[in-house]
Amino acid sequence: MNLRATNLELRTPRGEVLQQGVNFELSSGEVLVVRGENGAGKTTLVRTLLGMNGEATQLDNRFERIAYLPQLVEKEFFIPTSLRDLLESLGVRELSTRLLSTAQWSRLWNQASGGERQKALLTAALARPADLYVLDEPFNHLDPASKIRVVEWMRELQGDGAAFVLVAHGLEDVISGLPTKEILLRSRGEA
Amino acid sequence: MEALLLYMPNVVGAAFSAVALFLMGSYFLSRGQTLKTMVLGQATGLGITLGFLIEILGHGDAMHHAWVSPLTSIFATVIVFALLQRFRFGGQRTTAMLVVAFLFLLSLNYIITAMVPQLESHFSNAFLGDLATASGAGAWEMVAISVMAMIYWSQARSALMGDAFREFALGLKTPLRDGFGLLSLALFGESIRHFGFLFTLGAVCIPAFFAAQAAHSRTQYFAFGAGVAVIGTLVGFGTSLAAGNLPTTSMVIVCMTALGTGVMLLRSR
Repeated sequence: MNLRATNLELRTPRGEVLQQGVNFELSSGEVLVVRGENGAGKTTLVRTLLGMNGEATQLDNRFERIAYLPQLVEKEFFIPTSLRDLLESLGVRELSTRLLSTAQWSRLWNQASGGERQKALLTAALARPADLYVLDEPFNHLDPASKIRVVEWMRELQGDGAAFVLVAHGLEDVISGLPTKEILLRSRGEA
Repeated sequence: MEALLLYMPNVVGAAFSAVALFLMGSYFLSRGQTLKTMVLGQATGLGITLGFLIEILGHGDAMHHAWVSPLTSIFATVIVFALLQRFRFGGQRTTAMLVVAFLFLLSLNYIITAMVPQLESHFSNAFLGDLATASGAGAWEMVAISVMAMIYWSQARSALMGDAFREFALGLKTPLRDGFGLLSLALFGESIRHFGFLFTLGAVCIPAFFAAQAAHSRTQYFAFGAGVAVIGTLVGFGTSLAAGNLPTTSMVIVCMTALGTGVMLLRSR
């Protein structure tokens, strides 16, 4: 299984062109890191990969099962719901205690810290069986020890053949153990 | 007591509708669509007025074909829903657009009513409503729709909450599930037709708001919300019947709000 972009054009949902001529290839077991300045189109690239910005003919995606971690939005949820119940609502049946303890899973989303929310969403993404994991800013709000645990989890999944697309700033120290490819999106220019 | 027995179908219909509308409202409010729900309510009201207008123009009275106004209300709601899906401006501009849409639909409704005086009572019924004068058949119809909505909700609750969380908290566009959309359309439209806009929107928003403020868990939220919806409806309806001259829907709204405020204050101590 693989993912190939040939002269990919990145457009916002309103049609504004952010990037042209983006090229990359990703196979099973590989990690692609997407870097770039704010507004360069990193999240737009992710949304394009996931088909959320319409069909992109320059993209050939052969990965069947895709798990996605969206960028954390600091919004409250209307109904007071525990992290555990939210995970169940997102379709995750088995509660992993790799990133959050049993007590932490009982916390309400509205009362949880940014780090706890991020760990819950990371668990929702990484606990899902997938061939490709697309993670947008996965290490935001995480303390160093948690970052290491996430990388260990990713390494296990990678060993099972999973591929990753990571959107991030300053990952060098965290993911040094993972063999990675990298694309750099420049502001309004060629990748 | 005699009055309660006389109005039993209406009391039962209103209580069941209040709970089902609270559950439905929980979903739409969780998706951040409170204002959109109000606009859709106005669209339904306009559809009902147009239905009666068609009946009056065709036959000279508004009760000749009782199926016309349900059809036009569904049609108007679906058209406005599709338009709201089409035009998205983002952030505060969307909020302003929804207020504009609400005012436009309300004014259009009023203009049509002013042009055809026979519609005035129908407009008043569809907007303010009266639980006591709703027909018995309409009340039992509401019980049936409400029970179906509650069964669907209990089966799909977790998935619906997941959709709402994805949409609002994670910013991922999640389409409405077909079954839920159809049941909501029936529940919402028929509730406005039989019980009025005020009662329907009140049952959608008031129990959900106070339950969200008072609850410390999801289970508590649904228990408080259902409690406020049922008790508020029964006490409001009962008080209105006992007093004789107090409007039923307004009393229900006041009782739900008073009860919700009480629960919220008790929980915050």
